[in-house]
Amino acid sequence: MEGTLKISIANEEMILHPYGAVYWIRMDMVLIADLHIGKIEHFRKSGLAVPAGIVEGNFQRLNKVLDTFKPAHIYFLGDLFHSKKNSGWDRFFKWMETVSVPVNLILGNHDRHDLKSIPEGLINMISDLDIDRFLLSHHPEEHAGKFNICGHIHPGVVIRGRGKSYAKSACFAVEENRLVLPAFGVFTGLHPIDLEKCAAVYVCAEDEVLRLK
Amino acid sequence: MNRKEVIGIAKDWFDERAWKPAPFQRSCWDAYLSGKHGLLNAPTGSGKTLALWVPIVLDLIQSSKGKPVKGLKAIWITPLKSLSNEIKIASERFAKDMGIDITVGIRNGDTSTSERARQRRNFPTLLITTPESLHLLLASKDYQQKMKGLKAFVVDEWHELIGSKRGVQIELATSRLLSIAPKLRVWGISATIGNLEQAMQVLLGTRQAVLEQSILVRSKKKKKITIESLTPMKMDAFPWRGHLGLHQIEQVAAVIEKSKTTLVFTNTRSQCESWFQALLEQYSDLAGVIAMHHGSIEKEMRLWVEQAIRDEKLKVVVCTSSLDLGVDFAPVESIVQIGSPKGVARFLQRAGRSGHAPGKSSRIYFVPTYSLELLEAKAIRTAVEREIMEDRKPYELSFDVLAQYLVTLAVSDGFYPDQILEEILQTHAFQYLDLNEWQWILNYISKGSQSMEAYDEFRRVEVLEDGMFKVNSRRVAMRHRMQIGTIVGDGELRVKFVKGGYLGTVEEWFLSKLEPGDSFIFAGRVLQLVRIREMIAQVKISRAKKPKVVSWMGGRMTLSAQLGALLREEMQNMKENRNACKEFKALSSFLEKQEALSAIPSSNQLLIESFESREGHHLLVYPFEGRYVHEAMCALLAYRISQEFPISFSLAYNDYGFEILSDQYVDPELIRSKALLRVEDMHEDLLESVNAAEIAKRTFRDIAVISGLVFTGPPDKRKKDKHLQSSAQMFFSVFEDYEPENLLFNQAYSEVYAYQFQQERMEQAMQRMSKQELLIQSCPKPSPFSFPIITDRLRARMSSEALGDKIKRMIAEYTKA
Repeated sequence: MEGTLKISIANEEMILHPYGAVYWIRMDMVLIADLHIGKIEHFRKSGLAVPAGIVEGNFQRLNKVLDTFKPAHIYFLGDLFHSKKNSGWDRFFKWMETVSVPVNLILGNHDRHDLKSIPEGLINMISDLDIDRFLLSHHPEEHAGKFNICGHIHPGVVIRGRGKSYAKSACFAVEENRLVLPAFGVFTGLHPIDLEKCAAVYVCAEDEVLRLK
Repeated sequence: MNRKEVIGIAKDWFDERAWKPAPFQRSCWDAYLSGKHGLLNAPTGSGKTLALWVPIVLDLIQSSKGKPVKGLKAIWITPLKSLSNEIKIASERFAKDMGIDITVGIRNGDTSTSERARQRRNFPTLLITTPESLHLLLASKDYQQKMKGLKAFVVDEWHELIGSKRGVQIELATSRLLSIAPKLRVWGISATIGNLEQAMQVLLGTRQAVLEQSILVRSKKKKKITIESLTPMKMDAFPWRGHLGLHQIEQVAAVIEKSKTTLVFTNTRSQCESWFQALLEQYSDLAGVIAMHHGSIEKEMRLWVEQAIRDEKLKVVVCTSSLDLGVDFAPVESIVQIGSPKGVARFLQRAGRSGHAPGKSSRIYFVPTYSLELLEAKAIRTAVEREIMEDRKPYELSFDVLAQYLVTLAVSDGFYPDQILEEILQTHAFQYLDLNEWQWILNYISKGSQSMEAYDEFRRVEVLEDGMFKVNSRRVAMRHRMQIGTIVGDGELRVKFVKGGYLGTVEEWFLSKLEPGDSFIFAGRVLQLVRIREMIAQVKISRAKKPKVVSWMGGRMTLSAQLGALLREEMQNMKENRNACKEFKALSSFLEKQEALSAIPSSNQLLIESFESREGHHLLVYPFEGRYVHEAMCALLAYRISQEFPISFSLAYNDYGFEILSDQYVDPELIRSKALLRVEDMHEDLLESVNAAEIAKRTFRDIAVISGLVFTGPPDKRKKDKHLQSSAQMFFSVFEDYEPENLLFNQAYSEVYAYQFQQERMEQAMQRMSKQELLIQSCPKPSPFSFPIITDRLRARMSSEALGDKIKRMIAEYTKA
């Protein structure tokens, strides 16, 4: 699988996808954080002209990830939806019809408006998932004896080269007992992380995952 | 009353004061009263306000025939809020003496909401305002009704506005006002710039009827200016490089000592802070009579300083361009300029801040920060003799300003595209707007995209059934009003004492490098950072010995083309007669070393030096075209060399020349044999060589704010719009990937080429250089000319890699380190 990177984390093999998804091999499960469906439409509704075309960008990326791994389960680690229901949600529901595997959502801080308008049984919504030695959540969580996999942070790195050159990119951040996923959605922004605090950092460099640290 | 009679009244008023109207004042009166538009070229303090205010009042006397004057009759634009009061006082006094009952009001960012509301109910006869506040008026309901009786639109200090997007705002406003007020006369007032004729046309627009009825009035008054350069007692002590100029503090102190009040101009805010500290430390008796003034100091403090100058309470003020224009300071006797003034106009404007009393000459002392800068004193004297002046280049096709303006009109009374397009095509800025671009902008504000999507929730400007473009959403209207303007702040934090009291603003990136407990110099004090809370840096006084000096991004000026040309000429003069002036004599030992190690170019030669050091192989070129052009030119040259064989470089430049440093030897003859400085393919090669995307991304920030892509309301209002937070960079990235044809995205690149790389000037420079003889010198060690360049710590590396490759390489570098 070109551009992906297989890593071992908490003695478990996982594959990092350059778009920001994680494939957990043993569980046959794809993890995706912070898609922020409806954000683009929310901006546009307020008169801020985000190119409408990037909505399709999100779905093309999702499809590519699913084609690559053909998982048995999909888990969204929160902030699947950005704000109130709008046409972006309908587009997402339409996409869901093309997906044959069960979709689960671990609720995030953004996922609190209009959840009732999600068609019955379409998405399995839970607050977190305690599975094996792992705890899947939206916010970073501390739980004795558990390795936490989460989103929320939108981790990114600024790499400075010699001279004045620099580059900014989303990344996977590994801390002592935690893996933080980058935000998967297009137009979601980055939060620079402290490299010192990370045990390992994997950068999403366009079509390739590269280990920075 | 006929024209002669009313002019008689004004003449009597002058007579009573034993004044005599200057010829330029009389010309303006005549021209205005005969219905002309125009531009008045007159310096500050020459009576320019009366040149135009007098005929405005006379005309009102004539037309009101004794009846009360009702409604708004005149708008007076000033770029600086602080100038408003003086104009108000002067205009009210004259009107009162004329016995006409009219009112004068000020409306700008400092005007209270209640005062604004009062004005809207009952407009003053004369409104003194800023470009931004004028556009806010255009965003208020029924503005057409309120403004249709306007007779005069005066734009003061037009030279300050024309080279900025605020100038475009004025052009658009002019085009609107000329349409709604049939009796309107448009006048600009400008200090001397190189392109005065063009400045008038830019203000008035392209309407034939207006241009035919226009006149350029020049004041003949010339002030005598004495330029003296201060040189160190011992020339040997004069550094080859340097940027602060503090080695000359003694001479500067002597000037301060013997003058009533001195303004010390520095080129950057951090230089200003350093000089203030140094003067205070070494001359403690200045305590209490020394002050500082720069753009990041809290407004109240700046106003206090300005008043204190007028009240003769201060002996010296260390300042930056923040005091370039503005109120007149009669007590100022001497001006000191630290370091290169970068341009003739700026230098003369600063010189003009002194000697305001009639008959007095302006005196300016020039303090070069290193040897070669001495030449600039001589060059500027030549410029004054020959009346050489820089142009101010007007902005063209600023789509961001146009988009903002159209939404402004949609917020108030709404607009019909065809009607407004006709006016917009009559502005200088948009005369070449093509219909596709126009349609693009209309789509952008009404549909938020260019494609015809059946259903979309985009809401900004709605198109009503009769074709009118209108904003109906109150939230959209409110957000838009909050964001009108073209001046975008640079992510600044306010600095405040823990116990209260604001000091000014510091850029976020500088503070991000500090930890609580660290000390820095700001606003003339040594401060300790206590904490940062909600965009406010809380500080307390510190006694630290080695505080950091605050630095600011941007604001680094480039040498003007005119001054560059004069410098090349002076180089020739210096070659011919080493004793022609004090400056040449002072430079003699420096020049001897230059000649021993390399050579001095004559005006038809381009000097190129090469030498080897422990760092590697140095190649230096001296076009004297200013740092912006050199930045692009050295990247271009480096790129073209790298096309010949694989090689990597580090680049450095200043106002005089640039350097290409490599671990491999580059034969300077290559420049000749491979025509590496050819104009051909310049644009394409430049695209490959500089990291234009990175620079454009920074430029795009302003465009995104002005065009309304990013919302930057006041912090307390922002909370409501929490789900609407985004950054210009996010937009830049999605445009890059999904909408590369986006006009605003492309505007960022055009602005980088036009203003950052100064493409036009660069092209002319390369044309000139291609005709010059190459004076190639292989030097045993660094020449005096090269010294300030090779020791510059800010270096750029050439990079034309794809993002993925770049990150890969940087990661490799990172891991190595």
